[in-house]
Amino acid sequence: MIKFIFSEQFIVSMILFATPILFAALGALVSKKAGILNINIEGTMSLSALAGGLISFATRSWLLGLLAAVIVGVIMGFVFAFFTMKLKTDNVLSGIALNTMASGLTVYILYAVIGVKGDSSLQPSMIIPNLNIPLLSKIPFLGSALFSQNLLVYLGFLSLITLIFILNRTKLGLYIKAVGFNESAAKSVGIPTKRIKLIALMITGIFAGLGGAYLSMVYLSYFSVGMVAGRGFIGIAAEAMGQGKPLLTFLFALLFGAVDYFAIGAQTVLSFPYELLNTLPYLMTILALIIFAIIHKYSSRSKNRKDDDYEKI
Amino acid sequence: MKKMLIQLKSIYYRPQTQQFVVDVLRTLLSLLIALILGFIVILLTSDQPFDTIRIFLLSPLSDPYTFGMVITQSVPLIFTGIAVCLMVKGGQFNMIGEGAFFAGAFIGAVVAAKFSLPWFLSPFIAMLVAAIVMGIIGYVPAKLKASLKVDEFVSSLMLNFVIFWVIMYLFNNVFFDPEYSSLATPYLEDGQRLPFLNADNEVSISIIIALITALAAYLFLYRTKWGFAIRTTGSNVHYAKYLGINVKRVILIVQIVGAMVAAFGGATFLLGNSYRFTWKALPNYGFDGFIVAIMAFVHPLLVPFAAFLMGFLRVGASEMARLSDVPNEIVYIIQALIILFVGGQAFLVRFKRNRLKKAIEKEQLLKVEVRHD
Amino acid sequence: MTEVIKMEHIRKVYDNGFLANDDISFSLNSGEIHAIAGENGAGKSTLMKLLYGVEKPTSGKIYIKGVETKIYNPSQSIKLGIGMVFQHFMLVDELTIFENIFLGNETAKFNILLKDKMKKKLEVLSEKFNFKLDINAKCGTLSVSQKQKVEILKVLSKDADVFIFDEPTAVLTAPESDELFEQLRLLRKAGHTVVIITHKLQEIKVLCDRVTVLRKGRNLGTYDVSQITTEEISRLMVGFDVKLQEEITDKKIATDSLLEVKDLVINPSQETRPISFNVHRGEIVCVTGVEGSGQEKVIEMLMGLTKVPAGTMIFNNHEVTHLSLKSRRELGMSYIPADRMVLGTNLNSTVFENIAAHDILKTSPRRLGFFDKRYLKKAALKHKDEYSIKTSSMNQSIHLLSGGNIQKVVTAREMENDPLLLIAEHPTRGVDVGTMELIFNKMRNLKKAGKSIFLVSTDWNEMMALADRIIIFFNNEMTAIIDEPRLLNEYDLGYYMLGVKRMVTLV
Repeated sequence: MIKFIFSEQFIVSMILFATPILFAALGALVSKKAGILNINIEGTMSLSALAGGLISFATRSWLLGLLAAVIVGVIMGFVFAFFTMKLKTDNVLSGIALNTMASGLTVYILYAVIGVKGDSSLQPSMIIPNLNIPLLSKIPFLGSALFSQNLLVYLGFLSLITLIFILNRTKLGLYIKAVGFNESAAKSVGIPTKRIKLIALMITGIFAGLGGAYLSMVYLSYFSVGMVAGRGFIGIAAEAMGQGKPLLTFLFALLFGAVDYFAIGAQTVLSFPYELLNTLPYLMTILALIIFAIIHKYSSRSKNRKDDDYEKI
Repeated sequence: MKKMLIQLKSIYYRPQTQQFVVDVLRTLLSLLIALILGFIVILLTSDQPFDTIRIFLLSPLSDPYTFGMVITQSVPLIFTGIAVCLMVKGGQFNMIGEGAFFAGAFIGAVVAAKFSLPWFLSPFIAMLVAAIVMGIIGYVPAKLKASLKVDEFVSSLMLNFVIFWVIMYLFNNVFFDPEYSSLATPYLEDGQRLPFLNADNEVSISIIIALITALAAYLFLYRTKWGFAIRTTGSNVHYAKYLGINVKRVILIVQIVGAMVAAFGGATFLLGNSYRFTWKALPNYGFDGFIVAIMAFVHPLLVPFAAFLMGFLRVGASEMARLSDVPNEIVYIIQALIILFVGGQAFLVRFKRNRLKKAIEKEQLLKVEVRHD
Repeated sequence: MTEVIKMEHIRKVYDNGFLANDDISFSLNSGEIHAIAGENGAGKSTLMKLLYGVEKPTSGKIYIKGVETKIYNPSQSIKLGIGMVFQHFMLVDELTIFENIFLGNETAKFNILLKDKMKKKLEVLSEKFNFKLDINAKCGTLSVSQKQKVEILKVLSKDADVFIFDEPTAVLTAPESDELFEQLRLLRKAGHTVVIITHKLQEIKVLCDRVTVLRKGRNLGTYDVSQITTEEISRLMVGFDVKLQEEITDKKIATDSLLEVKDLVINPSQETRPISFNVHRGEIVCVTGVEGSGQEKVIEMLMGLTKVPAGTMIFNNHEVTHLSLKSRRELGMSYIPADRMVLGTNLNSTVFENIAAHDILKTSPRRLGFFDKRYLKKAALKHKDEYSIKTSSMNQSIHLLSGGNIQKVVTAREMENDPLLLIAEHPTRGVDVGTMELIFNKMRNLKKAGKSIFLVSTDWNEMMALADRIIIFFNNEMTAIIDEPRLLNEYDLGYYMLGVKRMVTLV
């Protein structure tokens, strides 16, 4: 088993499996930076996956499919903004409601378009291609892991770097952070807080869209109901543990990717019941949340925080 | 006569009544908007939209069997709705209802099949066992939240998946009936299940148990001191601490009890309407319970109504799916929209504020009227 | 000297009916340091908020440089050259000084921040006004005085002429205040106008050119600081009031000590004398001082809302220093908090549940937790009548009641809870005269029954009507313990409260 974990294949797959979680986590990160609790990522990924699968099948172009997925993501971000900011429905409530709607909508659209309710395996999507960088991919061990990956994996890295740049170096990033840290202070200096939040939600939508596209156009070559399987929430958990630091979030996403792959890959190597292996990613998340909470509790104790008094639940 | 009219008017114009009236109007309006949007979707995708819509709206009432289905479908929703009510009133957004219900159903089916006791003791013992087991499991996210402030939403969601897979493992490998053609738990004899109320439409006494649970939840929340502590904690935690309420303990207990109610409900539902446990996926009743609770303004006595409404929509949708070309998932879309609009505090908030203002004014005027008599 | 700002017949009534500014006319000259003085609630902050655009006047006119202007929001007032440095800083702790200063006002190309350009501009300003700060430090790590400097720089970087400071030295130590004064003098030298909202007499004398005194929403006049004494300012601020009938009660020689506070320290990082006092049975002790002088913290520590850094408290022969709030209540403490709306009430609940809260929680387990609604409702209705609480029904949502009535609910609940010690913060603030009398009577009854009351107040009438003893706080220390309140005169009270005078026996 040790050989399995440290094999080249494992590292390649780990990065691959981490990709949707990374996108979800980045989406959650942007929303969190803007001070928004966005649970909508799971449903958005589902709808985006559907869009990517169907559109790429219809147009025979993976690029158009990818674009469709992203556009659907942005639209969902917009819808979430409408309900939470305009109608002032509670964030958690809206997230749950929209996730429910997404799960219904995906089945419904699937049925309406291709007459089947389970998956679009008979209408396979165009798979997003891999990109092999010629010389570098020949490097032993890490070569294929880093330089012979799927296009979306590279997009994932690119998204990470772009996000870091935006947050640290641009006015938009600064405003997002200001709104997230202290909305009234931001308002007091004239920052258009509502518009900033909307932009943040749309960026989250883009990332969720990319994550969804990965599922139906790389992981599988079709859309299947329930294929997101909680990855949106795992991404949110990864973000929570990354504590708002993009690089740390990336590491946790990798960790979850590893566990996710392990649950599947180990089935062939170990004779351990697959159901129990499937619990690993989720157990991992809970464990990580606990560790994070413990660390947080004891570090803030040492910072001499004021007592429980006026804390919010 | 005039005095009675003034009396009635004074009740009508009381701010609380007005608030209630406005909330009801808002809910109905949200319902209407959601239905209209749903109908637009149906219009776009169905070949016979108007027939389809007719089936959707009327079929649940068309014959006793379908109506029975509505009642049966509302049973799980009442239980999970109550579970959510309890937890949300305590300020906790814990989603364990989903996994708890699933686990409760499984445990209920397995335990009841093991015993054969007189007077329906078997199912009741099974239901209690389910509740206790889930109470123990539910302790995990509850304790994590109470002591370490771990967000209960994510931890409970993750736990749902863990529960699901563990049960699937037990289901596939240990507690299945080897003689049955597909995956299922052993057959439940009549004495091991809950009896039917009405054999024709298969409505079992589970609905009675569900309604009793709703009533019990109401009495607990609004008439006992623990219910008071829970509601106060969820409503204003600073005030709760100021009164001396042990907030940590409240947070812990309310989540455990919620899990237990959901599990109890799962067992009750399964033992009331099925002969075996055959579920291979999470049935979504937990999340639906959340929606039901919100539609019922998180009030236990209103939960059965909201559950019934949702059951109605569900059955209408499945009939529609059976008889026409529109899949029943449309109902999820409609439900989600209802919630989104009902939950929108800014939705018609100006309307609400004006009415309240007018109500207070009218109240003063009426007081003057009464004095003149 | 030109008149740079003029406010004419300003009247401001808040949504809840509170009259904050009552026909105030006020003018500001350029190049001066002007103090707006007054007690809490006098209307100073409101007046300045109108200038800054955070609030709008109900009626009245504002003239900026002779031109009548309506100010709708802070951005507009900044453009007019008015900058406000708030008491509660509007800084984003997680961002750096430099990011905070330019927030909303950045230099950027294609959305990419031109950090070097901004930093340079900042250096120039810092040089000019002698600020020594590491601009890359996060605002959360700064001391309060440093944060204040950042706020000043923020306003400077927006090219303001007029600087308004809201109680700037409230959070500073003496040396930090001196540093601030130097800064303000530099600003004046550079031609800026400075307005300080304050209640500290020494500041006014040391720093300001002119002073405008407000009291209960009215302007009592603008004076040249060189032409008025601190005593006169203090008298204007504290003022003369219509005195209600004082009841001369039998003053028992206090014997039995109910509460003993020994060597309490409020702020360990400050060098202050520890606080020690007793409250006897059947005694009403009133604690007073300017807001933030330490008396609020003492109450929090007494009740168990804040941890005690050092010192002990013994209540009814139990040591309560580290006991939970619940235990303290069980031992016989009741608490009417200053923040009635958030801490003292559940606005989402009914009148009944708010009044009967303690009784509900005390329901005996024999009743399986079910509280006797009928019985408690009867009791609640009795309280409602006794305290004249205006509500159409017990089941009404309490947030619909007027502020004064909500206060009565809180008062009723805490007083009727059979306390040994009632701790109350400003119990008659915000209630009408009739209710005030009622509360006074109730408190005297408690005293007659041998219970004690520990009271925070800044209301002269309240103190004179109730207090057997008065403890005065300033700067987290006691400055005086008055055993014969009837013999206290208002000027002395003012001096003790403002730290000008200190009781020798306490040293």
